[in-house]
Amino acid sequence: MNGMFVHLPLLIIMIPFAAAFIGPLNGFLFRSWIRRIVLIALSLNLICSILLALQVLSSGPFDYYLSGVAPPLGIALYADYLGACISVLISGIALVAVFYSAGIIPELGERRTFVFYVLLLLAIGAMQGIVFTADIFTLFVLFEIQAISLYGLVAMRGDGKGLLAGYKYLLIGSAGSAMILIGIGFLYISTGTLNMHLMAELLPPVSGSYTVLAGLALLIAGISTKIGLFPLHIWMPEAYAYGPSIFPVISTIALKVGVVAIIRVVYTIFGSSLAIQTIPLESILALLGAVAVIICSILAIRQVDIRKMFAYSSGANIGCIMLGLGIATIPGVEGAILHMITHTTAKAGLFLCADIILIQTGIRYVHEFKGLSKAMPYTMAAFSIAAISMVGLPLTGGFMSKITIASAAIADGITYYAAILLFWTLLSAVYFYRILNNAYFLEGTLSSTIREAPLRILIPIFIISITTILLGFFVEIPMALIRPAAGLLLGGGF
Amino acid sequence: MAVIYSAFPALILSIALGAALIIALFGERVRYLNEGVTIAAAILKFLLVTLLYTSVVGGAVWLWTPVTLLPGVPFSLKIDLFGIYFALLSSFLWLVTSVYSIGYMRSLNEHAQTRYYVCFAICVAATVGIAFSGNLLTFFIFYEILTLATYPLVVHSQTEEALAAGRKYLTYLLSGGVVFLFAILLTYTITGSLDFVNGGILSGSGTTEFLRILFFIFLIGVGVKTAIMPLHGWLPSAMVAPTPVSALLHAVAVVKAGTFGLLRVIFYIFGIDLFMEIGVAPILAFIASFTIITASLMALSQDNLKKRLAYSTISQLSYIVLGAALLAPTALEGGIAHLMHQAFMKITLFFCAGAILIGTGKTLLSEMHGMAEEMPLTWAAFTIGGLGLIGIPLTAGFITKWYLIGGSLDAGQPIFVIILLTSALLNAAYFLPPIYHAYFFSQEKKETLERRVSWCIKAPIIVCAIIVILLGTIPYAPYFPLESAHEIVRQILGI
Amino acid sequence: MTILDSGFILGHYNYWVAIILIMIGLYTMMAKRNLIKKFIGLNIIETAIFLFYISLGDVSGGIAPIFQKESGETAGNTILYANPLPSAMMLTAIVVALCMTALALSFAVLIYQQYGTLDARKLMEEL
Repeated sequence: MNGMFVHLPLLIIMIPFAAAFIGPLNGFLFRSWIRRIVLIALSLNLICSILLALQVLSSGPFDYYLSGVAPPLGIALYADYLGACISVLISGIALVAVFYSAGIIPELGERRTFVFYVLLLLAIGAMQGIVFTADIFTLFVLFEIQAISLYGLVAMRGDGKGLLAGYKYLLIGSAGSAMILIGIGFLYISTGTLNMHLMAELLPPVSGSYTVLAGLALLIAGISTKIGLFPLHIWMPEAYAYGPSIFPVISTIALKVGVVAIIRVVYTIFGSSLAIQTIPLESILALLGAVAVIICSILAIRQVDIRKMFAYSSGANIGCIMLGLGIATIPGVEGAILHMITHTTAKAGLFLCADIILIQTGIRYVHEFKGLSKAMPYTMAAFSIAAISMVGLPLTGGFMSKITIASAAIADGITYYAAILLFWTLLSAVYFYRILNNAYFLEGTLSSTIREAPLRILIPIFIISITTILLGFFVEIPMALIRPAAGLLLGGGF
Repeated sequence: MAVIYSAFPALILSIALGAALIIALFGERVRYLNEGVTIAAAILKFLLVTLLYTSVVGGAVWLWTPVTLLPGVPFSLKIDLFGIYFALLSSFLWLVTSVYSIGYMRSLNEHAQTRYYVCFAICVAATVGIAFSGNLLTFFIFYEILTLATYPLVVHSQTEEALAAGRKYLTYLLSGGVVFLFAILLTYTITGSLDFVNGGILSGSGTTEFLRILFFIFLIGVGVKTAIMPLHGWLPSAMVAPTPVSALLHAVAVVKAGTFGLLRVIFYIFGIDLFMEIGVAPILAFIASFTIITASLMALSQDNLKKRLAYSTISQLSYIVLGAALLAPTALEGGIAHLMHQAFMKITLFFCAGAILIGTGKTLLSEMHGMAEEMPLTWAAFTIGGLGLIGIPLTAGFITKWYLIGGSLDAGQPIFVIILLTSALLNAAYFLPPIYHAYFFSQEKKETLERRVSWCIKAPIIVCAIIVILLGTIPYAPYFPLESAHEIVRQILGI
Repeated sequence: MTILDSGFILGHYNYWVAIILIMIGLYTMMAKRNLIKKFIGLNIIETAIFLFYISLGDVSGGIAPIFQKESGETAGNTILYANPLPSAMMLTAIVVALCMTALALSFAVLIYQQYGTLDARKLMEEL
């Protein structure tokens, strides 16, 4: 049995790619089959991810050499706790999103839906690759695959604003990619290898040199454009608002995958050098995170378009995760990874509910929500649960991850970061309160023809709502993977 | 002390939650479902809590820790004497308020009744959860659920005024919650645990300075719900809520949860020894006294009956805080007993206010002259409640004052005797005139709304008023608050 | 060797070329208003990076990295090859840049069809 499991990392990456190539072939014959192909691919992916997670839990992380060639000559995949955990997250959320969406997406039309799904598969495959790769150039290539797919996805609707948002995303993302490439180059010069683990071994003697530091800075800056860390989040509001409605769900996952890449860079590659180098990397990350949290939240309060509001909220949450990573203690990293999971779940729920509302009613703005709870009670219920998790109130996953990071901050002596996180709860409450208050307690001028969405569409958001609450209660289940992950990352990187 | 590991506490919680779910799903469609489920759940819960009460009084402690939330901090439901005491109060008053709600809602033909009953049920579940919490994190979870669940009740009428009051309510309570969470996390970081333990968990962890600051952060956190000044601003505004909601908020749920939380923090997190050591008790006593006097003064100027009662509540809650701050066993007994006493007295008064609103449509005291003729039962109950708060013998309030005064003398701080007596005088100043006007003035003939006040409303009023008298005349009866308070204090002091 | 040593500067001229080109590209990206010119700027940056990497692969005195069969006179001597890895990486990167260019240019075409202008300042008002 053990023999088969060894190939799981590669399988997980290849299934979506294979489906992405099969899709167009099939598509000439049966265009409507594309959604089923995607569903099958993602279900297989989810099963493989869960199997891999169980495998890693029982017998520890393992390497996988492509074509059996070991580094430094070959490319290695590394299945560790973090990779397995995020892999489950990717396939799970993507599956729920595709399960939710339709055979023909309303705003796209038949032909574009087809392209949408193919690009989605490419993006998912690339994401799975990023979390498992142990080779830094492969990381770059996969980032580009993901990025190009996402640029295409943003502009899928074909209308002017979507195109402009896509173009803006492309410019900023490509600049980031360029920075990543130079960064990789600098690290390559200094160590002579592209494998992350070998780099980690070779880096400490040279870790003080300008080349390495410049490389590190460029890498982090470059990846920051992909994850929406302030001030490189500026593509997010328009991309979320003017792209197809499902795009933000995929993008949310992509942001977390980018964070995994940063973790790989900071902890895996630089792990052993962190102790001896003079630049306080963690403090800088924590500071960036805290600034992102506050400023993005303030920007969110001023928004009237809910998708832009949620985009800024995502920016704040990414800041929170960075803060957790910057508190380079085990609880801090645990909290950051847990927050990746809880935030993705809650945000996916929010965006799916927003999509339902958009399709049923065409509502895009906060003030249009008035009285919505009477017309669409179940959707608003799911929305409220997701919103409560985003604010960070108890009984939801968001609460647990926030208090983990906050108590890690206090334990590390930087209590003011904990105060910032808790203050952030109040800030988020302000803009979510507005939506919920409008929906539940104000009377609006909604057309009487608005009906609740059918059951098949409500099931995915119920799944997400229940998961959010379960995460708040049974937090030990993800922690079974997260705790060893944090220990591994902080204890030497691999 | 026998520890029983069982999920029974969770069962009691799930009764209320299950009721909420049933009402939410089916309330719109089935007639009388809202009320029926509410009453049934209330009765069931009260019976179960009483059963548990006898068990806990016999020396048992129930514990249920299904999952771990943070390392060292499980989700813990623990029923000790203090907890079951509070739960007994909440479940009984829920029963009474449910009956009252039915009458109130039906008489006024209120809208959004389903939402009302759902939130009501969640509130009670949250309150019982607070009572049953075994550590600060579980407590906090239910605390915040309570905040969220009471918001729809406060803005129930959905008028401009209600929404503004709701915003204020949420701002105060959520901010307080965040500060509370901060204090909780600080405690967790220095001690690694958050359990409520007799004698506290904080002794020996940190300098006196730090512990003092920690105490004040806690005080701000729970102080919002305890309505100590200057954190009381939400309470008078929240009077826009329907009367059963005000009754519940002021007698049981929100404010008592805050007071309960404060006592838990002082005696089960800090521990009485540490509390005495760090020397914050005088400051706490000062804040309590300030609140007692100032709130009573502000009550004098209120013409709206419910607002006057609101300020009276703010004042009365600080009696409990004072009881804790005096550091004398007698005072503490009085304070803990006052948790129940004040609840019954206040709820009687609020029920009367609601009855007056239904029967005559009036809310201002200046319009209530001579009303005792029309509504004799209501005003008799009102008189009992008012006399109780003043502290006339034979009522529950007298017992409280007696113990508190005794405690201040025990602690060698006679100034608080003066404060308590002043408060009694002020209470008289704002309760006696309305009563006098109601009884001894003739009715100014105006167009009044006459509605039949149903028995659903009258019965709770009568029951609560009788209890107020019973508590005052036979305070040492078994299972009455004084005995439990005595036992709780004994456990706290470790004697 | 300090930074100001002429040997250091001249010896690292590939870095300088790359830096200058990247700066030009960056300026173009930021300062030009036409969307296509912005993208050309990006292309310049990417080209600079390609050149930089390829120059990394150069080993002084090395021959092209094509495997030589050992003939009589070279047998027993070690043959110095230039490093093929950076070139291989850049092949991949060039392909990636190509995809990006294709995507960006198709965006530009569609934007022009929709709005009739490629002026970034005017277009940003649309958003």
